[in-house]
Amino acid sequence: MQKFRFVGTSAEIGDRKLTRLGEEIALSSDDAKNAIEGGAALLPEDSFAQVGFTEQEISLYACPGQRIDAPEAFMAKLRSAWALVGAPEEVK
Amino acid sequence: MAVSQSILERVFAKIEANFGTAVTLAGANCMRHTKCTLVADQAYIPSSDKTGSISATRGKPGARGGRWSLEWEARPNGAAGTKADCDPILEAAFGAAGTVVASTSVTYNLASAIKSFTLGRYRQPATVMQQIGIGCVVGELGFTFEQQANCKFSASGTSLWVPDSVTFSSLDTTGKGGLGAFPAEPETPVTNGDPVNGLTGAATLDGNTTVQIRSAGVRLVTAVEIPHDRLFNGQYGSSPERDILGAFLDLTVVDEDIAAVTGLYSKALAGTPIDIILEAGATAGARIQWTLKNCLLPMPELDDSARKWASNLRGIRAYPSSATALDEASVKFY
Repeated sequence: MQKFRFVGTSAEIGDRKLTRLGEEIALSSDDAKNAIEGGAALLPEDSFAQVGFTEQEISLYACPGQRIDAPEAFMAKLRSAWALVGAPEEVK
Repeated sequence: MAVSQSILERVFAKIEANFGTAVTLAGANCMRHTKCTLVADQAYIPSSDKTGSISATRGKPGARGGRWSLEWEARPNGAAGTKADCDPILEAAFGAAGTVVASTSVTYNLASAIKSFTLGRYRQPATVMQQIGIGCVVGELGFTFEQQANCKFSASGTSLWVPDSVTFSSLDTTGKGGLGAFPAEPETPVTNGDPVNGLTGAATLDGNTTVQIRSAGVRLVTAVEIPHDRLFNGQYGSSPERDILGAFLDLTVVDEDIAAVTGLYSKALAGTPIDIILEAGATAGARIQWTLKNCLLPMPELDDSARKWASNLRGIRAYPSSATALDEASVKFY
């Protein structure tokens, strides 16, 4: 099992629903590949850490509706997280 | 013995490498939907010979084909630059894969290629008839912006055939789409994104953003069909063909005496084309924008069905910037 963090708005992977920025999910290698190929905005734990979201940012902008007036510093981090999404080869 | 509840249904779609050859569907190919129809059409060829009786003569099985339609709420992925779940339908409708700009957008632009997809429709329990549309092509793609409703896509078209889990073993290789056995519903379906509505976003008509829009509906008529026009070709249709594409828009705007509105009427009379951009959604990664270029407007039909007069502009048609530009319509998720 590998840990991933969610950086999208909402996703359902089987029975699991993800709705908050930074929400954690542990997936087997096959399930992770399926989820990422299916467009789930997931980052491996270490990639998520490298983006550098602060605890406060994750709390303040967890849901998409809270991001309408989010500061550019946060949005830049979010965009850099999105740029890392969709790389099944990162699944171990 | 079991019946199936109509809400217990999932659909899966994936672009085919070869028309009519089913591709393996996985949980990754799931997309949420509101309504799906998949219909296998088998015609009968009647005999016209007289029998000496007034009764009809039973026909023999003729051509086989299929029809499909889908409706679904527009759900951008949520992560800008990642394709939405409905990507295969849009790729088939536009004739080209979406152009991805990492962490920014996915844009579907028109191309003249014809693409097909496999559409799996699975109901519960698994023992009731399951269906797959093979060689599905898009005849028409629609998108609606309405009051107090999520924006919706609709699409419909024809397919080479619709094999099902009940009659699968009786089909020939073409009817089976090359499959050896009817595939079970893929495990671990993955779906993404929240629906968007038109309460946020903007409409830009001829450069103006001040026109009040009540409703809008885009229609992309691809005119792609699977023909049954060849002898000695078996019961199934041949490779898909297309006619001239049409990109249309129906708009209802609040009738006002401002230049942004009256200018539309003047341009309709003069036959002066305008560009129209409609976008829904408020946050990055969760917005959809339609761009229709060089639109020729009809003369307005005044509408008093609500308290404020409105103007119906039905059948606005978009045209390319040049004969080969193929830029009359595009849709961007960003």
